[in-house]
Amino acid sequence: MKKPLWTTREYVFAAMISAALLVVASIVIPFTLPLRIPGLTNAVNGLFGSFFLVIGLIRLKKPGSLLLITGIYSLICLSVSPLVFAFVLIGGIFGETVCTILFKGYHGRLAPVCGAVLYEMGMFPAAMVLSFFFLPERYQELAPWIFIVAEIAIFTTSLIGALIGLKVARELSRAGRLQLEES
Amino acid sequence: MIRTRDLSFRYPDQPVQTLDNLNFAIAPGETVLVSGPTGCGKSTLGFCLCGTIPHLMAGTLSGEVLVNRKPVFQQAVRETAGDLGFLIQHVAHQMFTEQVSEEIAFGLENFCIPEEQMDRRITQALELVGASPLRSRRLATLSAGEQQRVMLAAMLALEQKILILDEPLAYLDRTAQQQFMELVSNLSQQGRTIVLFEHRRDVVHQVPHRELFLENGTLTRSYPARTRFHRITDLSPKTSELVFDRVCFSRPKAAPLFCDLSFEVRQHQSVVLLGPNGSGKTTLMALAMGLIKVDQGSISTCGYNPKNTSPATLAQLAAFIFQHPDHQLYLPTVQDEIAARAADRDAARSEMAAMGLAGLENRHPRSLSTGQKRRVTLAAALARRPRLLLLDEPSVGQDDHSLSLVIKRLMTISSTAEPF
Amino acid sequence: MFPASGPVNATVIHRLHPFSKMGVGILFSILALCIENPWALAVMLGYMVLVLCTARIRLTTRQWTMIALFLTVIFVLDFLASQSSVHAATYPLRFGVFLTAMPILAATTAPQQMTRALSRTALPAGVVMALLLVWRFFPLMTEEARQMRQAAMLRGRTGGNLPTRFYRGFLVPLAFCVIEYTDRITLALELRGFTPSARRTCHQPPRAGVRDVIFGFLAMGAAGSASFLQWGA
Repeated sequence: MKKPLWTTREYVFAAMISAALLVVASIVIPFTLPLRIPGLTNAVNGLFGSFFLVIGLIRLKKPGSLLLITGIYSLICLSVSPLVFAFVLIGGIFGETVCTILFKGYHGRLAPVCGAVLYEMGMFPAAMVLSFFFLPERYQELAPWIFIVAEIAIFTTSLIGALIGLKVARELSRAGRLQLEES
Repeated sequence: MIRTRDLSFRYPDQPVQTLDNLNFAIAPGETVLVSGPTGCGKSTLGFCLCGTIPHLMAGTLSGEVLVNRKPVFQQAVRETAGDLGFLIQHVAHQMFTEQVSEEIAFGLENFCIPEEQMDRRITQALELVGASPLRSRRLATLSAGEQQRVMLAAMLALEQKILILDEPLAYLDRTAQQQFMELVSNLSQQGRTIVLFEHRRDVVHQVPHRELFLENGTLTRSYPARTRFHRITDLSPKTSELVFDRVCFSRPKAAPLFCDLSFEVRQHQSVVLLGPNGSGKTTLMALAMGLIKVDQGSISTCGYNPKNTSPATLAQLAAFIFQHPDHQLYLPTVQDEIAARAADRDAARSEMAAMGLAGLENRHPRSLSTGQKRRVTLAAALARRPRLLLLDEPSVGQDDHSLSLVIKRLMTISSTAEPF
Repeated sequence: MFPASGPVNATVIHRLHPFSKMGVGILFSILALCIENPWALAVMLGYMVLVLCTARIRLTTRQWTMIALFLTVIFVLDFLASQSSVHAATYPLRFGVFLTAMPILAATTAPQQMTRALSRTALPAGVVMALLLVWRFFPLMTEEARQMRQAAMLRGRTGGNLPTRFYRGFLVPLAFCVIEYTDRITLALELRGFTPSARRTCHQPPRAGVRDVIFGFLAMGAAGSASFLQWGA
């Protein structure tokens, strides 16, 4: 039996983080989606999503961790819509690629924060491109600056969420539930 | 069948040994009770026997455990699980499917049992535990006792020679406890090797062939005398603090839970609500605190109607302590939790001392044992000096010593004219 | 949204192969994005409502009300923006297809059926198991979140402003809940013999049959009709 890339505990942890992302999304999305403001759902969801993602990445540490969590989450989202599956996966691939090139894993504090923020920021353009592809008449009337403002909002909220996640990770460590590396 | 040699274990950052030089053997066909107070190392011993220590839990380990002459620490947990089945305390966390037959099949799939053998094994296992009628039922619709039966069936289907049961009675009502022990007794008489970890010696003592008593991580031959819990005496009842008047309530898409329920709890009275799991005890308390609203009838909690009073307002007068303390713990230290809404500093200090929490002030509440967490939530509630206390299953996870602390404090409150 | 939690073989829809249902759901979702003709969307939505009725999925009055409200809000906002009722009708119908296509088909598939079907793909066993865990433990975690909210209701405004209370009273306990669930579930999985790299057999693997072919044809018929209305008429 060859040694697995991920242990049982790591798969379970990734699953539980995905479940937490789902809990948060199920609370946030029904309120923000009907308003149909580009980026609003992503910005609000990003605040909480990056919170849990940072905790997940700090715990898993290995290259591929972001893709593992977002891959599982995207497969769950497939039962909602293939479009959601696509842009969640694209966001995960984008964040994972950049972080693997820059940091080769998620050790320390900077890499997890970057991973979480890049994932949230990567999802929005992917969602917009896919939406524009399928519904061009709806999006071609929107001025480009709206998308820039939306992306800045997503960056801000996901960064805040990620930093709060770091704070909670320290508390988890103090309670003996998480081992932190001193960077 | 099981042998330990000089087994010792210490968790990281803990100054004392959780297990200290344990040496014992369990022969095939024996049923052994491992008892001891909360925190004595029972569950840790169980984790060592099944190999989760050291493979899944870190710590300083020495000594040896042999299961069927195989060294547990040198093989994967899965290999040990082929010989040894472990029923964990939280049965719901050990179930991974929706249906009874699927749940039993789950373990068979993990061990690559051929598909053509599965149905036969599922049928036989369910017959052994008397759960054949449950085969097509959804696990979520089963009672806690039925779920445990199904998990036992899952272990029997794998033909595991040794069964380890970790505090199986913790979440069962009295009837379910008796039924479960009857089942364990039947399995024991069939010659199964069973190791039962349980501090409720009074409930299980007739079934095992012998007992190992753990205290501070070592085996001792001196068993403590059974704790006598004194009856809580009431003073003359005065005003009503909780009144249910012809209350009717039903959960969505379910049969009515309460129909014309009426009762009264007066000042200085202590009332025990007894009932099987699912009978509505927790729901009754949630109704009293305004967390859910009645369908018909009226409730008065400390003079307020929960239907048009916010739960936060009611919580200033009445304290509701949840069954699972984790849901109510939210601050970073024990001291913060107890002092957060305390009437004053002295109140917080005295309740902390009364609950045996002195020395734990700066600990994170989540790092405590279940019994300690429960006492933290109770101390936090008492420090607010409430007029009414609603305690949901306060004895779960508590050994006799911890429970005696709680009951002693409740006695003082109930039997004193000015309790605070 | 979540796989079925009722009897596995309740209706013919429940007995379909998970991949048949997934394929139809994906096709309808993507087609709905490409179609603008409200009649074409109505045909697709009609097919999904038929599937809903065949699967005997019953929604409560409250759920119907929420869905109707949601779609009405979308209609009104679009009407205000476009001043065209035809244009405004397109979006609620499209949403209706989204709300029904994948979720109904997921709701009629038991988690074990889905994971058994997925285990035949190239997905690692650990990922397939992770999906099962999310489906299995999401309701439990939601229940824990509900209890945390109840505890927060009892605390009221103690402990600072709304963001602070939300952070301390919900996010932090939920983070601890994730860690604790991980420890317990990992223990339970390993004790049940699961290892990501080990082979597993399959009890009652899903098998495609005649009903899958019929279901596929009917779905293609509905999709074809919608396409004709959009591009052919």
